Amino acid sequence: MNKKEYLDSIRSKLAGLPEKDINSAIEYYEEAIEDRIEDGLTEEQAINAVGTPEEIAEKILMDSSIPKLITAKAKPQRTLKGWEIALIIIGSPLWIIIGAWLLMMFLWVILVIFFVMLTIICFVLGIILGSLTGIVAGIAQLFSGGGAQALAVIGICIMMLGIGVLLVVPVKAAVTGLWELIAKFIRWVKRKLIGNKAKKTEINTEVN
Amino acid sequence: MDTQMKRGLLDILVLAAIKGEDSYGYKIIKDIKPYMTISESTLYPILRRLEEAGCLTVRSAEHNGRLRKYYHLTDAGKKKLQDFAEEWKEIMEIYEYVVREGKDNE
Repeated sequence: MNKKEYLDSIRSKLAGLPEKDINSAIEYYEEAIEDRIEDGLTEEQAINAVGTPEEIAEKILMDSSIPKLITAKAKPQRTLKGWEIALIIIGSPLWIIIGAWLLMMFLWVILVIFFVMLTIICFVLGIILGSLTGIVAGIAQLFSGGGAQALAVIGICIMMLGIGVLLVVPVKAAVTGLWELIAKFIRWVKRKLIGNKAKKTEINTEVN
Repeated sequence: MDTQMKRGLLDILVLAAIKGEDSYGYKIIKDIKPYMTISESTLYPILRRLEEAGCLTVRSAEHNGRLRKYYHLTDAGKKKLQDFAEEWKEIMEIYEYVVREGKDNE
């Protein structure tokens, strides 16, 4: 494979992305090859050193936003014939519905995880703030002659405060875990969208 | 090393590689090689992300009759490096403590 074929291969694997993104990638990889040739490598060695088109395309696609990937997938890779365009126009309400539905599902999953996160945070925050208020109220009651009842209030609230503070560490872990879950889910959706466009490459050998 | 940690460190390494003077892709890879080996396909998305985040700017300059992209560290990028250094000062203190405790128990 020479340089031109190599760059064309990358370009075809990125087809559908905005033209600006594709050109910027091609310029970058052309420069990468040129710099290695200047360093004394042959064109073929330089190409091998830079990496396979599959690997390059996959990393770029995984780094593109989900709306961009959806557009790339929906965009036809060749000019359409008249009857194909007619068919698309007739079928378009259906496609729009399916597309919108998929997007809603995606947002829905993220929202659910997000609200679980928010609920957990509010729960613990509620315990802590509630017990603090209770302690203040209890002390105020004590001074206005509340006696044993006020002491009981203070005692219970201090206990609740303790429970709340103890919960902070596990809650922090849970929130971080859920946050990573969202990131994982987004990566999974992207992987599905990329599909066979770029062959899956081994990522264990290196940082993705 | 943990992948998540490696990802964060890689951003910092790239920013550090352009701290002294503006640099280009191949040189960045060579400069950070003693610390982490990365490929062009890994570096490219990182550079784009850092540019989007405003940590660096890109300019094209002529080199041997062709264009080469040079990356320049912005104030936001410098701030990121400073924050990293400060954060790691704390982590190093913890490290010292952990290592010291281990020796005392032996």
